[in-house]
Amino acid sequence: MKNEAPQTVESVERWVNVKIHEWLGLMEAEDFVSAAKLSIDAIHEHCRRSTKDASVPFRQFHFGVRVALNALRDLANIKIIVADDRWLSVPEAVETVWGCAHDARDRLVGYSGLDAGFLAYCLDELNPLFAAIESRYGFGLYMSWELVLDGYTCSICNSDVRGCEHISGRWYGEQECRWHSDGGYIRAVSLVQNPRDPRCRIWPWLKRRNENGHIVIEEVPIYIIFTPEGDDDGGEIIDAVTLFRNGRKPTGNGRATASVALDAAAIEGKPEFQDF
Amino acid sequence: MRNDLRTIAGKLGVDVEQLAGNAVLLLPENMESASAGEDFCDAGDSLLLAKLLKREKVPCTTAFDLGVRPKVLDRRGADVWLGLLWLFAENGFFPVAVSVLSEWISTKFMQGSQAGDSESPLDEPTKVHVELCVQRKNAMSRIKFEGSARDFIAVLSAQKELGNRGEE
Repeated sequence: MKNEAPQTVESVERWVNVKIHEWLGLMEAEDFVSAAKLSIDAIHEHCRRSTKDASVPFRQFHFGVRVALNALRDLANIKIIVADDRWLSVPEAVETVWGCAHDARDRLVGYSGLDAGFLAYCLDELNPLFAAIESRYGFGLYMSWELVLDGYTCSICNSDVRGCEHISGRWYGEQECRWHSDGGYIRAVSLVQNPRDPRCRIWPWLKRRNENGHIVIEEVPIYIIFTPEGDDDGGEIIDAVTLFRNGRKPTGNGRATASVALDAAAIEGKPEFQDF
Repeated sequence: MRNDLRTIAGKLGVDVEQLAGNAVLLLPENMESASAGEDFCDAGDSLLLAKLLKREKVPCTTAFDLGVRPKVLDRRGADVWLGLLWLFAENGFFPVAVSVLSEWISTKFMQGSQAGDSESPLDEPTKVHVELCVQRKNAMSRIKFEGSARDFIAVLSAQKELGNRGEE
């Protein structure tokens, strides 16, 4: 069996810089499918690197690279869709671009630690898309829930987080602190204009009139699991032909949704809901 | 009847002296309406704030610290919910407490603004929801605050300024 040289931050940094350079070349050439494939292959390759015995800084760096590669895939996938001029008129295309654009932005801003110039380049790719969607569909309304929990348990000390000093997302020695919710039930679901997760958007095509003449909103996500590091398989390349022909939305991308049906009679005619 | 310290102590089942020695009390948001421990609900954002205050050695007590185990209300909106926040202006840690609170809110506000697209409501300043009580020797001010982070920081600064004047 071949002995591989130990991975270091420097060696991985060199590797990922080459990948980003190749990705940029494909994006400039408008070969977005190849750019998405390159990102996915790179995620595969990167996930095969063992971090089991690695230091905390290396593991953090490894995680950041993985997040960044996911963002590159998101950006390439978005470009695959918006290359078709019809995209703003196709609900599935709009929803997919919206979701991918927020995934990409969260990954780029929150986790990746990319070079500032490259980060600005990527964000500049996203901003016109948000503007186009807002121009066509308004700022939107979103689902927001209120959850009553018994509490949160700390992953470091396994006690109620109100009784320890650990803070979620921070590293303590070799372990990252996570807060896990205990018990709980949904107390209320609200329509809001300023959501924590804009992926839970209520699109105009989700409403219909029922037999009583009331507006009913269906299949609205109230919670979406978003993992910045994505899945080990690297996700998928958007199949634009199928998306535009059949309206099939991608199923992967590490997300789970729950849906609700609302009788929207109470909000009909109210100005704050006119976008809707 | 509005909560005073004695009423709150009674609801929590502790002596009022256990509350008075603090710089900050972070209490359930339904302290006024709930009658018993099992009905209390901590506002989700108050959990992290309590940790940040304690990390800076600010004497801060929550209902949990007093042996009550409130539920936690987690809202999936972007706003900040702090529940009942009681500040003791005469406590030596009051300025530190205000600084920690202001800095934390500012950070959240800045994070919200990073998203760009400044015309979008998504980037409106994060709103803060809190019932703020500032206790002084002979008076107490109570503000039911629901507004922008910027305005909340201004309110805190004003309270700190009042505290400074009181010391002069």
